[in-house]
Amino acid sequence: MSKHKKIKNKYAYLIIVLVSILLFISMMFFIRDQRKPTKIEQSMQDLVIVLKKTVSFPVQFVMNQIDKNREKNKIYQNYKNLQQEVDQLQAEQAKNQELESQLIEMKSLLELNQIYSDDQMIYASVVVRNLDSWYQTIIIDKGKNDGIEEGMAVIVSQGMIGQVLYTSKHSSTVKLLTGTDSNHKISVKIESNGNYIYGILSNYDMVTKRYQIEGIAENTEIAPNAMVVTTGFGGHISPGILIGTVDEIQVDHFDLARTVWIKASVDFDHIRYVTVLQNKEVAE
Amino acid sequence: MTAIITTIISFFLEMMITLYIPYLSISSGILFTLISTWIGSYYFHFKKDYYIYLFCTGLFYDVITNTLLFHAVIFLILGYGFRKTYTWLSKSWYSLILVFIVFLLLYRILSYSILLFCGYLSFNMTHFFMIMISSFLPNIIYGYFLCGLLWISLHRN
Repeated sequence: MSKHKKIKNKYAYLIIVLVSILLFISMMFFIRDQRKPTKIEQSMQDLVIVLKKTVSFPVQFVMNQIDKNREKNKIYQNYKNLQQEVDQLQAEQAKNQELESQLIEMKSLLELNQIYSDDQMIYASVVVRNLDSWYQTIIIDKGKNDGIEEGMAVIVSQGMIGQVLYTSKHSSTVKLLTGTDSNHKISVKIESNGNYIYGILSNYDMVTKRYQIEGIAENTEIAPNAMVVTTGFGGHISPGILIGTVDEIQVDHFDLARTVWIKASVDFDHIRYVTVLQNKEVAE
Repeated sequence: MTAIITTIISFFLEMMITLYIPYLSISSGILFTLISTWIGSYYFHFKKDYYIYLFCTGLFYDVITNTLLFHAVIFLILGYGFRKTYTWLSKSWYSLILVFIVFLLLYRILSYSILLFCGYLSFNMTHFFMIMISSFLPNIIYGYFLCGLLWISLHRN
């Protein structure tokens, strides 16, 4: 190989290395969630969502029919069982009235009744979920045009699943609570014997399906199966949205603080329809 | 053109299937778009066209995951490697499965390392292994399915 060619090759390698370093640095910048997608990216995402909804319509139709049939069978079984229980119900009616009044009282204590009555609710269906396995995000089919804003809480009937990360005109990306990155932490409180213990959800164990709250002081008492709800600190998320129940309490090596493991109230494997909540206080 | 259509179909298929498969199940690590780009190399006569196609597919994937350039670069690197390796190996069904496993492993390790380095993920060995293992079965089956389609189209011509 001639000397001239060798030098040329050396420069070529140098350029490749420099370009790789530049690419890597820019990748680090782009990967972070804080970056808002550009208008072009948002429009492209909207276009893909519309296309996907059109393409997947037959599949979704079939899946819905299967679900419906499954539900029908379940309902039929339940109906049989319920017929036997109807007789007992009359006797229990009086007892239920008493329980109902207790429930209303407890709800007012936990501020749970405020969530569903005061907040504006936007219903959406999940279009894309956790592409590439690493990104704990879902994309829903409602966006800015439907009144969705960044930071809003996203719930299903069993509790909170995440927070709106960013929105485009017709779709929104939701960061799930299962995401383990340090950028999105939710402030929560544990209800224990009439008192509240405050903490931050710091992690989620994918295998055991439990959240982790670290740094709870040793002297606080936490009842097993105590309810964990959002605090509402930080604006967008309403207080009192259910996160889960206390599953396990571990004391650290120095006996100073405790780690509380929270059993998630939501089954993250089957999320198809969600509700986006707009905190009334923020909206006002 | 066939490669592009296959990739678009794979992309939508991937989007649809991930909605219905439980997370961290044996077949949850679906990467149909990536697999289609590897098989797509057989449809391109010119290297340059293939690399442009890889970069654009990765970029398209990035738009959905909001990770601009991340997949574009990884798809390009792995596509280049896959093309080189499979040309170098004997073209048999056994070697194909080996190449699939090696490159799926490479993809998972590479993407996990970068996401860890950027602070997007926190280190969890069990989680990593579960995702890696869940990637093999569905993607190898899909890879063979695409190879079967390729084989049929080649023999028809």
